[in-house]
Amino acid sequence: MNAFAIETNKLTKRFGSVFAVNELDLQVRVGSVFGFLGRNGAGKTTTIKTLLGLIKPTSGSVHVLGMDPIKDGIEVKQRVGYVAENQKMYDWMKVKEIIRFTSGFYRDWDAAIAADFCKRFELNPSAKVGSLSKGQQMRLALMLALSSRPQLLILDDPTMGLDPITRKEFLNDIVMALQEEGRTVFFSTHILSELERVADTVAIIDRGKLKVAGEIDLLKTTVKSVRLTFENSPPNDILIDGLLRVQSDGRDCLLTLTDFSEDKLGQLKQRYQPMRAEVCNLSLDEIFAEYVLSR
Amino acid sequence: MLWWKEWRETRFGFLTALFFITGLVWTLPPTITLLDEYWLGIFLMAYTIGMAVILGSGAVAAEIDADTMQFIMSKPARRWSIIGTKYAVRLTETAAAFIVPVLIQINRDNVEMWMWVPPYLFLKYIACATLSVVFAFSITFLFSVIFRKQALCALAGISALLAYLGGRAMDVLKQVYESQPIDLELYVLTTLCAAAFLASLILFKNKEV
Repeated sequence: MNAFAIETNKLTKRFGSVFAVNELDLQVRVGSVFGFLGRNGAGKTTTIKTLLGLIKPTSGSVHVLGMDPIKDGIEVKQRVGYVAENQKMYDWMKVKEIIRFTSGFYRDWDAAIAADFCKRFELNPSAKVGSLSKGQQMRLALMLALSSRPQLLILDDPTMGLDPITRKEFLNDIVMALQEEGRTVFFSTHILSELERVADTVAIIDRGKLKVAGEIDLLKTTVKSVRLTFENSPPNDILIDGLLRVQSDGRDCLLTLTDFSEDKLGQLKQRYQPMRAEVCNLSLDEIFAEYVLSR
Repeated sequence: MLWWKEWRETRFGFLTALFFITGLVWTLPPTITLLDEYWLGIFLMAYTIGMAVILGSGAVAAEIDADTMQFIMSKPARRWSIIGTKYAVRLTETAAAFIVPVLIQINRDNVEMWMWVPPYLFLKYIACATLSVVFAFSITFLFSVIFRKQALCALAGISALLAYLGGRAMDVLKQVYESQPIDLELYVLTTLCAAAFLASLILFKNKEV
């Protein structure tokens, strides 16, 4: 069995002269909850669409559960559950009709799971899809994605447009669904607080390019901020391995380092002789901002 | 399931249109003149061509515009079956909206004639008229795979139909007026419809949503 649920190699998608995704290398381990971070327009949705075979890559390769989504599109879709950003479904269908309609496509459809989720999510089977609130519609989409018992669940900014309370409830639903089975989840979002609750690994993408990928805990341990306070104004030429960003403010100089260690701190102190050096931990939110802002 | 979905999506419009046109033909007095029948035939053609344009332009473009295409495309269904079902259901509805009232009209007249057409030609003429409606549908359907906006597809479909009518219709009408066979036109229309559907299949297979 393949160790990776998703593997892309130099994946590139170009629309005219614009690179939506540029030489993206991703590896998502089987059984992990993978957070795919990026600002709006960073290339998250384009990447996801190539994973599902909805669009063809300009160059590079994509493998989902060991298969090519273009050549083995049907088999990939049998094993992948997908909830799109602002998922639109047929408004005129009733909840029970859209369940029956969707079940017809899957060989592993589990009617008992569908019924169970319907009950838990308080979805009225006789209600029209169009009459459901946005939160309920997203729950319905999640229920449809989970009822085919997918090996891989792809969620493309599923909480976008939801109010904070509905977003929290929806995330609880996802966590609940994840606890039940050890499936791989690929979760794309631009709201960091929600990702930290569910993901164990993240990748940050900006302008189509991968900035960093790794386990959240490891990122938090290795990416640190160091505040150096000097007697006079700080030097302009601060350079050290793994330096992500430098910000100067008066006598202070704030450095963001990607692979922080005590050795590196020692090197900084020795080389630039600051009055004071203070190490600051960064939240995932701050790490994301540092990677995106460092060009 | 795709058949059910297409039927459910279009049935209200189709049944309403069919009810109206068959009701109209049914309620006309049986003693109408040949000229009245001529204008009724023209109205029937225009009515069903309008319906063909609406059904054809709404097939793919409307779903892409409403973002529901992504929902269905992410399901394990072959692309040709998605587009093929759309074409088959909507084509049947368009053709039925034309053929059913024509059959009622013929049955009410109680003669083996359609308007002024002699009995040995009338089936071919009905086939030609039906194929013209099917062509209007097929070409608009093709545009609905190309363009995203339904109104644009309808406009392009009408333009293509007018181009076809401008190029060939006068010859065909002359042949009809002289009660000549129109076999060539049947082949031309069948080929055009098949080509439009084939092009729709190929374009949709490579379409990115």
